[in-house]
Amino acid sequence: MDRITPVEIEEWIKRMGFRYFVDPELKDYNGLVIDIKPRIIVYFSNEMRYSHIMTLLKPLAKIDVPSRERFFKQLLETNAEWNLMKFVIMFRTIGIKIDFDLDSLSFDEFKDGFKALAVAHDEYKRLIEGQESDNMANAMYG
Amino acid sequence: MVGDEPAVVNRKVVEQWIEKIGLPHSTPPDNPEVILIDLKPKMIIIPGEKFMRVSLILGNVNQISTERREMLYQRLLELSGQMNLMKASLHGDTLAFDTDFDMACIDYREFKDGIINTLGGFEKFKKQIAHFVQDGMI
Repeated sequence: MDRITPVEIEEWIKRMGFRYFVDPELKDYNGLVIDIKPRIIVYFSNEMRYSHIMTLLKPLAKIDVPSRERFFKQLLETNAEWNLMKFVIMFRTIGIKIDFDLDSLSFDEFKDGFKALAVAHDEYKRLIEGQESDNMANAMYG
Repeated sequence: MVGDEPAVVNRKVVEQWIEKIGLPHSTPPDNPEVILIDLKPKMIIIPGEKFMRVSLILGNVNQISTERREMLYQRLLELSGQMNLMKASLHGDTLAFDTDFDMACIDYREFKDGIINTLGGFEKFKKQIAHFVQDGMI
């Protein structure tokens, strides 16, 4: 199986019917911003071996200082419960990220990743922020 | 699955793969479900029905002073962002770097790459959490 290229990923995004744009801030990562809610970015590792999709949830600056330890602990505990998905801090922002190995990635696996991120976003709202879920997963993917 | 890969990956197959890689391993008497990789740091492999998890044990969070925990947690979440296929997790009081494999499509090559990635990732990021070592971790 040949390694999937960023050009093919772009074709897949079009095939999924998503609109996207190039963010100059993600230029170094060959990054794209998918114009959906929750906002998802797609970018690549330096050696183009991995592709990443990530939601941007909350800037670090917006987390109350006194509750930071408890908040970060909850994210690490949730990481232990999740499979193939993780809370991360990237670009000074809390997000949920999935890594794909471009040597074995299929279109279906890539597409499923977007739905998984939407479900995880709803879980984050409900369990960690204690807010009513936006039901993004249902709204976007049925 | 390709070539001579088995149709069903189970614990026995995973043990054969570990032997093929050449890693020392054992089964903890108190937890026969898991496979312990006898390296330093220790790795635990938990084969499941849908997913298999490889956990590289970093240490007990209670060995870190309360004042430094927030800093450590933040650093681990930042490292998770830089890691490929691996993440920092907190299992009770135990911090670990975890890699998950989908049992439906795992093969020997992917498993071996995952183990090498886990050990390589630990070596790469060890320095960045090294200042917590003096508190007794790792």
